[in-house]
Amino acid sequence: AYISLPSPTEFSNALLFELGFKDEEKFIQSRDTCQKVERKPVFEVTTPAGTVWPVVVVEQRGLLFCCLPLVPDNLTTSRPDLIQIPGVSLGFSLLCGLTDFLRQCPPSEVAQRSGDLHLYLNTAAPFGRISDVNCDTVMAKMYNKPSYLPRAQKQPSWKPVLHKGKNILYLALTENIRAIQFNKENTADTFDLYGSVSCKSDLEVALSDVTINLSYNSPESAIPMDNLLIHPCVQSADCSMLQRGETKAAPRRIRFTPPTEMFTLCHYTASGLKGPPIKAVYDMKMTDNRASLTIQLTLSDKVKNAFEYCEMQIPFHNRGIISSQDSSVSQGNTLISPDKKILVWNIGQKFPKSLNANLEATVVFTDAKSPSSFDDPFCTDQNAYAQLFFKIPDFTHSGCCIDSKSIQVSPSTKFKLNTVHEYLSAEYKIWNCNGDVLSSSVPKALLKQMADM
Amino acid sequence: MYELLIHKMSEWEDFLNKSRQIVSSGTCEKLFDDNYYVFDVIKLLYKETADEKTKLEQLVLIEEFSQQAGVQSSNIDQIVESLLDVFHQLIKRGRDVNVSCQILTTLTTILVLYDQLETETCQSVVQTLLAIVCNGINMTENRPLRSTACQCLLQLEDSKAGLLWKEKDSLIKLMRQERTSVYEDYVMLVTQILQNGISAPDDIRSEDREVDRVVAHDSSEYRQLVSQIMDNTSLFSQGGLWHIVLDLVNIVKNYHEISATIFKPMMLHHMSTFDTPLLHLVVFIQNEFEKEVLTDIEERQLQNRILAGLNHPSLTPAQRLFYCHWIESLSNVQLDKHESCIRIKDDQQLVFFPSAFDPIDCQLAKLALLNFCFPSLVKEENGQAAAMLLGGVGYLHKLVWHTGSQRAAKALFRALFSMYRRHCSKSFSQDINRFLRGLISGFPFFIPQALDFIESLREMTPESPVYLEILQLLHQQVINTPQQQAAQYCYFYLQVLKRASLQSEIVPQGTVRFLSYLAENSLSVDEGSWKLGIAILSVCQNILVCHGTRDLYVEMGDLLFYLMTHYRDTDIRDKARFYYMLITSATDEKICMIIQPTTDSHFFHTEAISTLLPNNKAKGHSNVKELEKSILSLEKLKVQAETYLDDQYQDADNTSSSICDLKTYYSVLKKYKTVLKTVHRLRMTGSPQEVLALCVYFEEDPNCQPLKEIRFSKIDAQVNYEFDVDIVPKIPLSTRIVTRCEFVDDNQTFRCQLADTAISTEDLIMPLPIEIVSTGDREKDFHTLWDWMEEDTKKDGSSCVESVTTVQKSLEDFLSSVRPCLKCCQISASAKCVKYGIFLPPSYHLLMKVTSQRDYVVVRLMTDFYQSLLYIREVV
Repeated sequence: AYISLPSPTEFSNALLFELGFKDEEKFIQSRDTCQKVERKPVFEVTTPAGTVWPVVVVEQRGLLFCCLPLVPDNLTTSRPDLIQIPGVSLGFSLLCGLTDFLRQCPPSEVAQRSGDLHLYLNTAAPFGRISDVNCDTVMAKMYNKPSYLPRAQKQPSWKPVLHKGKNILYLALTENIRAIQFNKENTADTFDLYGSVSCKSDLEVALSDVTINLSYNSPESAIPMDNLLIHPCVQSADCSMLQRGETKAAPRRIRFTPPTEMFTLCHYTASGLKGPPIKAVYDMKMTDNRASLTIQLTLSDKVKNAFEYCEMQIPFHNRGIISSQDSSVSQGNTLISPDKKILVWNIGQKFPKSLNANLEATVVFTDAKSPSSFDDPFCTDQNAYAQLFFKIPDFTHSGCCIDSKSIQVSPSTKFKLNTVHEYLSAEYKIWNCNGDVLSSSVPKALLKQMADM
Repeated sequence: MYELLIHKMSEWEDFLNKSRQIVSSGTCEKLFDDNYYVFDVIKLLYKETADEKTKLEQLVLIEEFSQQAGVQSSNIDQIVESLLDVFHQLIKRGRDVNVSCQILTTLTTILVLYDQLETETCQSVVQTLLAIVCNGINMTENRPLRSTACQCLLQLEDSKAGLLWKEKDSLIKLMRQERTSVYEDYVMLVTQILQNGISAPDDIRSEDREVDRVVAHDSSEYRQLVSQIMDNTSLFSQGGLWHIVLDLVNIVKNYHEISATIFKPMMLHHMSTFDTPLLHLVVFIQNEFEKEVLTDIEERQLQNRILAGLNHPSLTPAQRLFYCHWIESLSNVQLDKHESCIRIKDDQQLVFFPSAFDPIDCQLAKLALLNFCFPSLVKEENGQAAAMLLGGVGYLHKLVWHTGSQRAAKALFRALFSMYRRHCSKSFSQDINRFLRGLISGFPFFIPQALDFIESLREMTPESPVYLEILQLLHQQVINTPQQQAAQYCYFYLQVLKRASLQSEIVPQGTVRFLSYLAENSLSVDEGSWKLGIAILSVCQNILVCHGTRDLYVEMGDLLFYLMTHYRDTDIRDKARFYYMLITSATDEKICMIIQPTTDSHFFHTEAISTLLPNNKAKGHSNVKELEKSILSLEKLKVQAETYLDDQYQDADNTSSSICDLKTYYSVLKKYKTVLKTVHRLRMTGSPQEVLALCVYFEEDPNCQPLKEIRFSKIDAQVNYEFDVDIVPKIPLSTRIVTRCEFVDDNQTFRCQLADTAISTEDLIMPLPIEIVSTGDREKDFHTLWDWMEEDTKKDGSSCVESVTTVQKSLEDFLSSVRPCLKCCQISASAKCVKYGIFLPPSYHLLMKVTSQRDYVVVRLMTDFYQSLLYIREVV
């Protein structure tokens, strides 16, 4: 049922309570009961004046952004399905745009920008009717940046300013690997290869169409792209999903009208990766204040052995700071982080010919625990993980690349092309094989059975 | 005000800073003390010296708080005209575009808010807006203004459907011509007008009979227009596209000549978008036109897209949570209903299996969906699905187990409950039993969650034995807890015992042993607190009601005896005595009639005692018998008046230095409260030897505030009971408050009248309670007050009166004969004159100047409570 909006103080208090920022450690049945079905990022906020729903909340850098989308009054139920409320996803995107708008502004100064905020909201959502959620476009409209008008075509709403100047097209294919290696019999290691293409198009051609091909250096050994997700500016793309068992790496053609700002043209995953690029085993035993550990790394022969950097961080959570360490490495060197909580192994730019690298170390800690906000509460006793950070320039693990020769711009124009390819680690964790690990696991027999189906 | 401030910019900036602070603190109403704030803002808008930001800020304030800022139905014309005038001036000068746009927005908001859409003023605004929209097509400089004008017209059309119907042809023409980025705004306006015209023709027809004809005749033109718009969807931003498509959806639903398939190309294209609102739009249309737009294969493609997106590493967790909602909706699954099922291939079920990369929220959302991949597991034979489901909570379980995180525990219990809700099989309950036991042994502070969980199970399946099984296990675990841990987490354990003690199937001996340990160690456990005592007693109460005393008469008796003799808190001792008396003198049946089981500790007191007492007639109690002759006597022993600063003013500055006249004096006085603290004695004057649950209560009296009733668990014939009653007078007149009591004897409630509680005139006579103008100089205060009251008597409607009377006594005799209460009020005394300053609570005065004549005294009286003149003779 409709209720009038509560006062800002009442509302913010109720919201903080609902989100668990107040009375977090207490069990409060109305809020915490197991019967409650969550619909995040949409919340129901109980205030003294009544229940406010649907409140969309986004948290960013210690600030909470929230909005209350309009529930269409032509619906039959007072609490309709979220699918029927356009303002839920639009409101979410508006809030994400707002967080971009305020990204440069420290939280303490946000209030001072309230004037700009009104202008922003009046442009992005006049009368609360959300029209544009992209921060760059909204700001261009706010300040009515001067632009010329294309002769015959209609100018898109999301491109209010057209480029004038040198013709440069920048395309970057960034491939990421995330992996969690447990080295446990009953828990399968998990890893995902995925990537994205970013673009900045400075072309002095009104509403140019750009066509690119994402192809493969060596289609036979390539890992095919799958699950291509595209930017709204894409006019057409080969987005089809791979069929089960399909391993053929076919190039993907994308035609798009680039907006003025830097943007992500597409995301993709690469399915069929047989193993992680760097196989790692972390064996650590903790006795009192002393950790004895070995780490073995093996670089896959499918990966280019030329790193911009490759570094392993071995953090020690929930214990004292490192008082001394004695380590021997087959490759690179070790050091202690400035806060004396992490042993850092700098592996260097290249693995040796054997493609193996080892670390053996003994780390001694001070008696007194030195709590830190970065401590992972899960990592007590033998529970621990190491993290790998690396970057390989001019390489993709899938073999995917931007085919620079086939790039077309319509209407035809001369332009400078910059393309970048890089392979980066994302979340790359190796759990200590002697401790417990954070994972859910399907029984292996069941997995096999499902795979055979 | 603004005139002045604009000339002094620094003051103006100060004001702005202050107003910004007020706005950011959410107390905007403080800004609008001035009822004509809006006109001050209009003046400001005319000033060239004020900057754009300031003007914008003030216009936004007017838009948001128009009512408080002085906008009224009666002055809207004036305000709108003035704002339009400012607008035209700004346009003429070609500056402050943002201010011009904001003026249009503010104007529109005011017109809509005050429902002025059928007025000439509105027409004039509409004409201005149309002029903006029509002029400067394809010009880029005026885009913000044209965009705003379109949005304003859209808002007006949205508020009053059909308002712009007549303009549709010209607007369509403009829309076709427009090529700048504001094309979207024109399309939004046109589709809104068309949608209103087509979906609600009756409303519009009443105003314009042409509408029907136009719609009927121009069907091909409309089809062409709609397809033209749909061909251009790539030009629209996400928000604009949503609104345009929503309008078109309504048009398609109401205008059957246009097929829903017009949405198909857009749906197929955006199926692979990573933009959340656009994918939502696709899902929305699919939901609206199921089986009408997409083929079965395409529908499956959409489903596969969403399923794949659920684990796409490039999407944020919040985006993936939206995907979960959409899968739920498209599969017609309701997470709180257990009948439905997600129809996907068996090998796709794993997409819902939580990954080690998923944050807690995504784990929970995916687990909720994983449940619906399987039909109810009650009849499952091979246990595969059950293994997968239970394996799925592994991450959350480990997180809770190793970190004790409340947030993770909340997610875990929700995941388990959603599983149980759908698959309440025996094997499941065994697994859950094991899990709960393990969790509680490691983390007793999760007991509230565990109890909420099993209560929820019971609520869902009342006939299932699971609740009892789990509660039995938890109970066992609690009573076998090592003593040190028991003390540390006693309040959590007591919650389990309280629920377990309600179950006749759970043997209570262990519970009583546990309670005895807590009682005997109450000082070390929680310093013998009331909270601990009441928690122990509430379990005792449940045991007494649900298990009787036959099997644990001795143990329970010992426990209660210990509590009533050794417990630190008096209230707990009294309550324990009450229970002890019950178990030693009443049968189990009677106990059950007197007390009821508790389920929550804070209700304990109410349920334990109040059910017996007046104003709360519990079910099953016998009728109250009225005694003709009271068996109790009540006597007032003492009265002591006290004046103190009321709690709500404790933190304020209450110095009397600011008292400068009678008005401020009264306002200061209002902050004080005067209480007559009385002490009474109650004793029994007749048989029986004792009564239980006695309540003394007082009838409402117009002269004082309602009095709280007084309760005793037991009254013995040989004992005198003294108790305090605080009386707060409302007017200073003597009164007699009717006083009664109720009590229980032999399972029968009796009522009888007691002696009235009297407030005499003497009780109400007090010295002046606060210093008025000087510290320690009572005489000066007396004279000041006298003078103020004397001055006040000259005013119309004054409540102060002056009077003179004589008493046939010498001054010496007079002084010796006045009542003691008056002596306390003596301000000064000389051979010729005596002064008395009397305060009459709550806030009245009687001032007396007694001067000696030959053989009599003349008493001059000044009072603000004239009735006091009637009773003053009693005390002199």
